[in-house]
Amino acid sequence: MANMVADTLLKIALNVEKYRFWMESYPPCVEKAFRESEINGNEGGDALMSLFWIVIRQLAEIEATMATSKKVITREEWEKKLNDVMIRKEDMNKLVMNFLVTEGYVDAAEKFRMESGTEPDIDLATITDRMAVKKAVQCGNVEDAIEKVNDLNPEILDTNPQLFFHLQQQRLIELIRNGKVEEALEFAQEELAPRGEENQSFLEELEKTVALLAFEDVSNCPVGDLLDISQRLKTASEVNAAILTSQSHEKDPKLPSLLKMLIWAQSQLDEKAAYPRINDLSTATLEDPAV
Amino acid sequence: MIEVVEGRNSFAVTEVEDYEKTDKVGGGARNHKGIRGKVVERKDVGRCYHRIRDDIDVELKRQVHLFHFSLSDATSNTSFKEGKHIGKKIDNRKPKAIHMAMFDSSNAKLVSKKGKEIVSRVGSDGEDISKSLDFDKGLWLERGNGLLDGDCLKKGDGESELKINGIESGSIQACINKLDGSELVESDRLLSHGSIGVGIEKESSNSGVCSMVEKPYDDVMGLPLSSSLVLIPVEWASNDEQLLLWRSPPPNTMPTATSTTATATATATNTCTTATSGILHRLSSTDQDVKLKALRQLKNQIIGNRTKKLSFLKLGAVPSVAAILAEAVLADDGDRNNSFNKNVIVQSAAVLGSFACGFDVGVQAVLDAGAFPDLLRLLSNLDEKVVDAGARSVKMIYQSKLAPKYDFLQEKNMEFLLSLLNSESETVSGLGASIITHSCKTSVEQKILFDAGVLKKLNRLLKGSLSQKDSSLESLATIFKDNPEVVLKFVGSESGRALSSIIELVKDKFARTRLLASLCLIVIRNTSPCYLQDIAIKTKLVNTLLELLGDPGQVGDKASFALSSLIAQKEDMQKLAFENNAIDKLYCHLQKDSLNPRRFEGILLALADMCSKLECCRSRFLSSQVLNSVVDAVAHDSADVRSAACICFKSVARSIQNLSAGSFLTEAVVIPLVRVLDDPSTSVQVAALGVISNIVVDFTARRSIFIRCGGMKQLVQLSKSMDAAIRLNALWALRNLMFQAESKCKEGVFMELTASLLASLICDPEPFVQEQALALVRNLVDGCISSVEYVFAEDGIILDAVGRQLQSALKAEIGIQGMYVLSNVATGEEFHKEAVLNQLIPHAETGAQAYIIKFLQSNDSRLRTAAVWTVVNLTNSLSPGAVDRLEILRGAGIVSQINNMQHDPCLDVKLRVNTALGQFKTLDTCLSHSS
Repeated sequence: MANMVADTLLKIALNVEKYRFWMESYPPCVEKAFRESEINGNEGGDALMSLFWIVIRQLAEIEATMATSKKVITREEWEKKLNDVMIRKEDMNKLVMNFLVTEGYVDAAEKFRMESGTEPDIDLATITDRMAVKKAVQCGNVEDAIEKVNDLNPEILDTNPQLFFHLQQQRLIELIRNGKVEEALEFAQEELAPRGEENQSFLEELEKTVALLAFEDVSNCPVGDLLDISQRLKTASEVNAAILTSQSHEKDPKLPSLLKMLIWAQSQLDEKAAYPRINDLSTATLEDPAV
Repeated sequence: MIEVVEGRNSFAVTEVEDYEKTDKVGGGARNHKGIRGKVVERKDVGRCYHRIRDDIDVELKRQVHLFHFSLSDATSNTSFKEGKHIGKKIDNRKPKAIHMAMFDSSNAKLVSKKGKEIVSRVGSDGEDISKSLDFDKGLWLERGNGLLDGDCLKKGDGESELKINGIESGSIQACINKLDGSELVESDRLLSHGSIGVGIEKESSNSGVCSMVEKPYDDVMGLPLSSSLVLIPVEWASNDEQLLLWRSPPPNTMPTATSTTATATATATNTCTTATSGILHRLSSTDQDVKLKALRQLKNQIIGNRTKKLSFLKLGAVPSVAAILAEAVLADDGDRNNSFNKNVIVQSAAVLGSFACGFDVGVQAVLDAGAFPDLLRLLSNLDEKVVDAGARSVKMIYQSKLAPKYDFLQEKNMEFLLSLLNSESETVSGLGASIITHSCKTSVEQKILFDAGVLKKLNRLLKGSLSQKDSSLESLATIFKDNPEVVLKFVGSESGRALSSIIELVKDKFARTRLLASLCLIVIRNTSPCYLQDIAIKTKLVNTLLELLGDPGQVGDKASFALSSLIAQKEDMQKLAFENNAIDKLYCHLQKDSLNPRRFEGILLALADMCSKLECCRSRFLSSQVLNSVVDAVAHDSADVRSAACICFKSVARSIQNLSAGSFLTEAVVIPLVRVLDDPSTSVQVAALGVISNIVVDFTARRSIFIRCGGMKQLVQLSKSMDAAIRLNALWALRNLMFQAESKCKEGVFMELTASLLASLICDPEPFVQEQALALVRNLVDGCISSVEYVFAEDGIILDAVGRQLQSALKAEIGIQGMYVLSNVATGEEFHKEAVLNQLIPHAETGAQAYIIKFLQSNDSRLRTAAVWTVVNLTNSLSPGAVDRLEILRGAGIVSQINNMQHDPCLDVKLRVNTALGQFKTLDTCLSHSS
């Protein structure tokens, strides 16, 4: 895992040649990444930042020199430039740890901590609790999940009505899935209807859910997607994100946004130059530039 | 006995498209006994039909959120749901009963196939709440229509009644009484909840079957969340008597809600109630395991669930839990290693914290139960989990206004606060910040906190976790508010690094943090305007807030208010916001569906501030369709929104350009405004009067529209209001209406007002009302000579009142308006001028100095101007009596006073003085010629 990430990152680190201050016209997505990395300069943000600036500077440099035709950069030149990029191992490790922690790979994180000596920014025990909640929702044990969240931090569901509603909605869905019509109605009436009263959009979602009861063949009805496993996953990831936020942790790992930046940077560069591109993110192989 | 639990069936309709597909499944009619449904259209555009039996169509007009029915048919003994025969048996003794929950208040109908109307609801004017039914004698009630606690449905034979005992969110309680005695013969808690409520039926030999369904609806047009209730007492229905609705006069004679609840619990008609009482029972168990389990169960029941909090609260759960906590805290003192006991503490603290979370009633209950000191004690416990649970619960309490004030002045308390802020635990340091936000009110407290070094601690938290940042920002804003001294010290500290870290947080990725950082900077700016003048920061603030408007949650609600406080009274900021498209962006958010009232209000107020000074903003506003939305909002259900809409409108109506064009005086605008003059809320009335004051200053002849719409009569009515603010604003509007009005318009107003009312308003106890009344008279007598006559009506009662007020005037403004009244009257005929002179010159016997001398010597140049004007008008050399009047004025020392004013510093005064002196000279020349 760590190797793959390191590999990808090295390849993201495009050429460093000259340093030129470049500030204007970066798109919003980059600004966001910029903001994230700036504020959370720890846990790999530095690496991310320097990579980002490197790409930007490269772009600016090419833009300046190549006003007319596309420059062709050969594989050799490219790799030479890549070799000049220095990435701190610690930064890489932090990025990996951030990924493992956010995604909840507690065992891997523990192993990685021992092997690399990278300290996670969060108590690993809390990951176990969080994953237990997530798993409970994924398996349809919503009530269990709610109890676990409340044990973890009673404030989460008390201050997050939308999440609470979605969990209760998931509970209703599970009841309907199990054919407990009476119970489902009772539950909808007792637990969900008052929430609908408090919030218009909840009411609409509730109607949609209760509509499941009106169909004989639920799998084939317009609201059937609620019964889909993806609905569980959606709810589970919402809970996961809320717990992470309550622990003042990012709800998304940083690696995906780094890859997004790679893609964006490449597409910017495409207009200016032909260069060894990474087309397959999973292998991160450089492909020879089409001349 | 609760047959409906078996027989009940619910049926939901959602999207029309979806439903039409369903119809193909269900509409085949096969095997359905004619039960089928079809939604033709949804929401407010059209109507829906539901066929629920062969001969009955339910027609729902406008919005349908959810339609339920449970149908029990005496002939088929079957109940159905759409397209699906689920074949539950129900008691066939029961006649037909239809339960519905819906919809729109104004138009719901139950019609038979033969076209006969079964139930009809008349308009939402509240006139007709009940109607007898042809079919299933029943009653259709709606909370929105004025159904109140204590309302009664009385059976026509006068023997029994159904009383509404409690209406609250989510449930309606009712009981059936015999009328022959006060004793409850039958009582039942008819509990039903919200949109999927299916009533619980109770059959009783006495009273028949009652069922109730409650349904909140929130009309897309912006009607409030309300409830309707369908009630079909079946046995009563067999009689032909009409059911009457009557409201019982003394609410305190009603059986209390608790008594019915108790009965309901005893008869176990409701699983919820049973579960509820079960938990409470187990809380008092002597078995510690059972107790702990009950605590956890209670916690899991109430977290996130306001309704449950309320019902447990009513059942007295808070004192029980507080008692458990107190006991466990004591036990912990004895044995610090009892982990089971620690768990009891953690769970009970969590329960109390949840009761207090965002729920003031809960906070009060926790405080009343005396749990607060016990919770505070947890903070010094050695166990981290206990501390955490305690801190969290105390923090919840401190987030409410009801929390006890924290006394920073006590040294011990300050030490404790600092220790909280120093804590490694996020919850504990967050609690410290919450305490400051809650209790720091005065500048003395702000200073003390600053001196104790609290700002340094808070700065440190700014670099901490998400929740630490947020609570620190809130506390900082509290300490800065209106205290330039503290702001100065803060900005200067650490060479401005602290301030720049707040500025950085405006770019944070969490919306709430961005909002709180912006609010903190706004407080700094508003407290000490010299800071944060950098254009980049100002632009960033404006853009951040505009962007935050899009946040779907509370942050979005608050963003508009923050924007208001950033731009209010500050033309430069309004300009900046305008340049960043604030008007368009606000309008864009205003157009969104289902805005909650708070957000709606905020956006309107922000628009009001935007348009308060700059014409460019107003024209941008008027060039879009915002005005229509604002006019619609004048009729919104929420008083705050109505008031905000008026304030916004008033701001826009300051546009002279558009006033001149008569853009605002159209029926579409005036009618809703006149209507809202009747508003039950004073603040709405005042705001509406403000708009009217502005728009009736009309330079075209379109005032008649306003008068035709009944606006003028309304204003006159309001000028008699008991509320001084309303009198003031009504007079203000009338005054503006009179501004350069044609004589017919004036006549109409005067007839309506009458001289005696005007005279009494001039002598109103409130000086600002006096001023407006005088200003009104001033405008009234302005213009052609015939209008001067008004002040002489009823033996000059008005003129006398003016004279009296001038005599005793303490405020310059009253003097000014009064003098202009006299000045205007003095433009009239000889007789009018003489009357004015009589008012001006004190009778010889009193020997007092004429008040006009005082005015001429006033420091207020406006008052001097008004006084000289009067003299100018009195001594106009063209009029025959001018010479004599001049003599009288001279005798009273007025002429010499004016002579002394030749070099008045105010140009306006000087000019009038010159005119007057010129006239004096002419008159003197005449005099010397004639003699």
